[in-house]
Amino acid sequence: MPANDVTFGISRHEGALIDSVETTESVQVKELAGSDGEIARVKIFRAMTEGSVKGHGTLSVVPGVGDPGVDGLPQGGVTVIPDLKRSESNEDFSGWEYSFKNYPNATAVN
Amino acid sequence: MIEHQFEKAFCSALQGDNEFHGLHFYTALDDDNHQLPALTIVSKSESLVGSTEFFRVAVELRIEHHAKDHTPEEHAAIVERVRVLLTAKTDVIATINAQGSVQVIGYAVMGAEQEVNDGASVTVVSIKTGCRHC
Repeated sequence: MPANDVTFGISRHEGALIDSVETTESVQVKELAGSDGEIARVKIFRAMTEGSVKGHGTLSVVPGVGDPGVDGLPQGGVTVIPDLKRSESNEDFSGWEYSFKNYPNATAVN
Repeated sequence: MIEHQFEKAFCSALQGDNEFHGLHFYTALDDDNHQLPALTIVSKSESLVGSTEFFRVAVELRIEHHAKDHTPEEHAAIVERVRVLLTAKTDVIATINAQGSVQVIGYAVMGAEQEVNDGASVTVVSIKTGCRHC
């Protein structure tokens, strides 16, 4: 991506007090070596997007299956918020941080 | 400008104390007519993640006495009084907030530093605060 396409600031999460939004899209790779030792076959599987949001103020997100409030995630599948950390410090504003995982090909089971 | 409003509000909150009789109170902007003994409040603000509403404010309460006019014990007594007042956090916050220019959400006293400067006894008490602009 050319440098003139970069953005500055938070654009993927609502709210005025968001410190950061991070996402990592990943796939796993199965490799099969050929007779000459070189990789001859590859299989891509288990695509997923993981991420985290850090901020301050009112928060409606709770751990479990739900919407992490981040734009640009794959449509469909299941998004899980496995953990939510709330923090207080003697010398700073209170804050929170949560992570999420999006499984684009999964269905939630009750 | 949140620093000046904050400094003025903080000065007003401390100024009424009986033990500060004769002490001159200054903000960073009206420090030109500096007369000792003095308590000067200097602050530096930093926006909370770019917000125009919430700020972290680092504050220095600079207490100065001229050595020829006041003993180190008199200086220490004023410093101690400032410390005692600051421990009544709820009262200090309520007094500042009642002035309506800035809302202090909380603060913590970080420490103090002593020095002798041009014949003056100086103690700087450092505070970190969280504020909301009104």
